[in-house]
Amino acid sequence: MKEQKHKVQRMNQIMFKSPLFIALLLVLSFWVYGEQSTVPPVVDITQNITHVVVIDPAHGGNDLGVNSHGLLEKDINLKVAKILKDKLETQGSGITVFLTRENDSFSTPVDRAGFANNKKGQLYISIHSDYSANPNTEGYEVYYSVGTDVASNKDKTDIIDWTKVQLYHINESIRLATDIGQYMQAQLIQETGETGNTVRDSLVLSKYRKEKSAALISLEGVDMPAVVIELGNINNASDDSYLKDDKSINTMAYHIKEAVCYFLKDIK
Amino acid sequence: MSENTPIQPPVENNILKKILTLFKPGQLVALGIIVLCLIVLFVIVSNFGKKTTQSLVASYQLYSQGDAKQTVLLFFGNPKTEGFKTVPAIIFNSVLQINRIKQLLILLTDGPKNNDTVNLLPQGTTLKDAYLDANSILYLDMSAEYSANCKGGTTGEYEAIYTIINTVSYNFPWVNGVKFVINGMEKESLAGHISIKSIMTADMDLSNYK
Repeated sequence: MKEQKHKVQRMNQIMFKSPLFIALLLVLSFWVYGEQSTVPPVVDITQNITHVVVIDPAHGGNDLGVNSHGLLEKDINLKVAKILKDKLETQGSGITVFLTRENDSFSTPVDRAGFANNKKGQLYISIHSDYSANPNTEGYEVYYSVGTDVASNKDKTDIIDWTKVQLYHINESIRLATDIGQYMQAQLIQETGETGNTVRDSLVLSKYRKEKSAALISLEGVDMPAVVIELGNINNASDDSYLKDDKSINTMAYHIKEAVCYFLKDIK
Repeated sequence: MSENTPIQPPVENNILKKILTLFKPGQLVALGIIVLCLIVLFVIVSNFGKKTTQSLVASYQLYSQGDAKQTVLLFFGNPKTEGFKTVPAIIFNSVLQINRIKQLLILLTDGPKNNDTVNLLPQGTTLKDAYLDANSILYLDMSAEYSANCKGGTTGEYEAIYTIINTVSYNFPWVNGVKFVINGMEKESLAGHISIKSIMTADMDLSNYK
């Protein structure tokens, strides 16, 4: 009896104090965490309604955007925008996506806003890559226009000033920014199947900074909920290598796509 | 030498007198004007292309030596994380408020003195002039470099703008807003991201500014 008790004690000692056991437990917890999503997965958003999304790959042509270590902002923006368009269009027949530029060409922010308004978009995402003089500023960020919502005071007979148009959508723009922020910080279920390019969800969630408001030129005149997504600080070594990696930007686009679908769910 | 010997005027004076007698008074005036113009031309040519913007404001008499001193905080970038880190500095309590602001901004545009903080202003940025209106709106005329050397990025522009506005507003809370002009001209933005068309107020929201 005493020998058996001693045996059990010995077993417990091996099981719970062994570094191998602790490591195994840790691996198991990470695996379980990785497999579960902290935000609702978006499967069907269409409900027989066609949604129009306008994506703006910022800069282009002679406007290079931020230029650092041979990495041109205009190229990254276009690449991510095209991936995002593909992902949204394969999500379901209910989403039509327009890009403000399909190639390395330049148009002014006013022309881009006009293009989006003419397409009667339901949301507008301007894709940028960031720069900070501080090389330690790291991560992605979502901006929306600064100002107070004026939609409640809207009178149909009012002549709306071009620069104030975005203020009519400010609350929805904040909701869009918040949704994107939520999905950029959330561990998602692996992307599979339909798109044919299964990727491991490798987005560094801790890199998400926050939603912020600013007097954004690129959203002026945009007559729909709109945000600017800054993909990462090109002046930061880690972000710089992240933005050069196709797998990473594909994952980033996947997170944005999920957020957009989640946002569109509530638009009838 | 006897005492009666007249003192000879210096030879140079004789030559000068001889030269002067060659011209009529009117011709002398014209000659003077020509010499003056040549001097002005020489000064302009010799300074052409040199950076004079900082010296313009710095050369103003912004304080008197008898003025009391005031500690101010300059908002530079925090090298460890996003946001600002303040650095104390001293300015003179000039009688004119605008001169205190000019001193403050000269210190800011000079940049940090060590590696504890990061200069968030585009390279070569200087203050050309500053003006306060009756409503305590501060008009800042920044050098062309403020926009030309701004590398862009929403965050980059945000930092370049608010390093100035926050520094001014924190030290002089009675300033009701800041309006930027670049090299004397109104501009839409520094590099296409954030509008500077309107009068702007401080944003202390950026974390870790203390």
